[in-house]
Amino acid sequence: MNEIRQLVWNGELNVLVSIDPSFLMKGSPKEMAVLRIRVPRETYLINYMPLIWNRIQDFLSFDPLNEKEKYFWFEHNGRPIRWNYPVGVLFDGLVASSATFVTSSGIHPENVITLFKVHLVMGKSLPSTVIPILSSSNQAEKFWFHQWKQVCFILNGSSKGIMSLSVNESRKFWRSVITRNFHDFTEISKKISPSRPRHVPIIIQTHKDLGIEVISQPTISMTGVNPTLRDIEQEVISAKEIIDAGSYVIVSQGIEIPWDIALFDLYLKFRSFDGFLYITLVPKISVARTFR
Amino acid sequence: MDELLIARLLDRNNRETHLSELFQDNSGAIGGNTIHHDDALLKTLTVLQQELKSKEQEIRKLREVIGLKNKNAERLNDELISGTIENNVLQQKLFDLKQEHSKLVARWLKKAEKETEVMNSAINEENDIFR
Repeated sequence: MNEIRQLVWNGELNVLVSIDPSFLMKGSPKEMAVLRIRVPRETYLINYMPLIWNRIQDFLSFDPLNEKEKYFWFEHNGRPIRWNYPVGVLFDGLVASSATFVTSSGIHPENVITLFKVHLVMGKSLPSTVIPILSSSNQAEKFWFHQWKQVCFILNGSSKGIMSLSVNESRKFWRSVITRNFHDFTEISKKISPSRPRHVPIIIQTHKDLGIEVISQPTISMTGVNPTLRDIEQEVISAKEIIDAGSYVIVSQGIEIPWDIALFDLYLKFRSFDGFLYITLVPKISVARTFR
Repeated sequence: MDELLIARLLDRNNRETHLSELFQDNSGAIGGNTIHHDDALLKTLTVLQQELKSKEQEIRKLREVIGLKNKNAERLNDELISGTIENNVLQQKLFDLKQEHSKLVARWLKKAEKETEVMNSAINEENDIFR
């Protein structure tokens, strides 16, 4: 259990952040507009905003922290990215090809880098699916804390668990995300999760190969039962109006999950740092091909 | 089950760390920790940024002025065109009136000629009688 949590927690991605030239003054060196960073799967992209601003600060054509008429957001291949999901979840849904998830052979071709390309752009209005990125440094923390409140409510039927954390504890909780302190994180998140949950907080997204982007949050009751993924197949699949469950692979945290795993067990092992269990529905390769 | 998941996670981590040397580890810099900069340069930069901002505003204002002037020019142009049209109509009218005028003059002259002829012949007849 702990070993799996640790592995999930330690997952990191290569992220290539490119900054739109419109941010920079004319004549700025081109290499300034690109950042290559290692980003944990279990964090938000906007936690890197100070780093990005800091990097291009000297070449900015305006002051992004005091600019009220312009909005910024991240894009991947022209698609706006919802920063409010963990980086790993975004990667699983947007980037990884469906081939990646298929049970691995253990062989990695040389010179192939798995990387997540994001492009920071700006405009006069935001795309409809994106939450604005604010200049305040605790935006991510506030958002994340609200996510946990929701999770706590879904699990226990009340948010008491998280609301009764002391100020110090909740600060320590967020610090553990920033400083990647696995021990602190596990300790505090354990206080919130009950041994017998009422419902399981789960968010299902579809993989980009499906062509359509659907995100759903089904309610899965746990009272008196302990379903496996197979048992809740209906809920998972109806999220997508797909009839044939056999042609889909369930992916969480970047790996394929067997259908016969117990849901609550899966939740405890694979939940993200905001308390939700994220599942990506990926079409099997053959299906993906016919779709294209 | 767990072994399978562990193996897959290990595999995932291996795949995703492949050639990660090319990417910086920035764990120290997230959450707002910043690196020091030359203060003087930063100050100049803020001044320049402000200047740029004010220039951008100026550009916007000037654009508005240009727009207004363009509108004015357009209106003047319209007026000019309507003036020309009016002028053309009046010219036509003038031409017609002139023609009518000359026709009337010709008719009047003819009439006057006839009258003189009549008068002349009357005078001649009178003279003949007296002789």
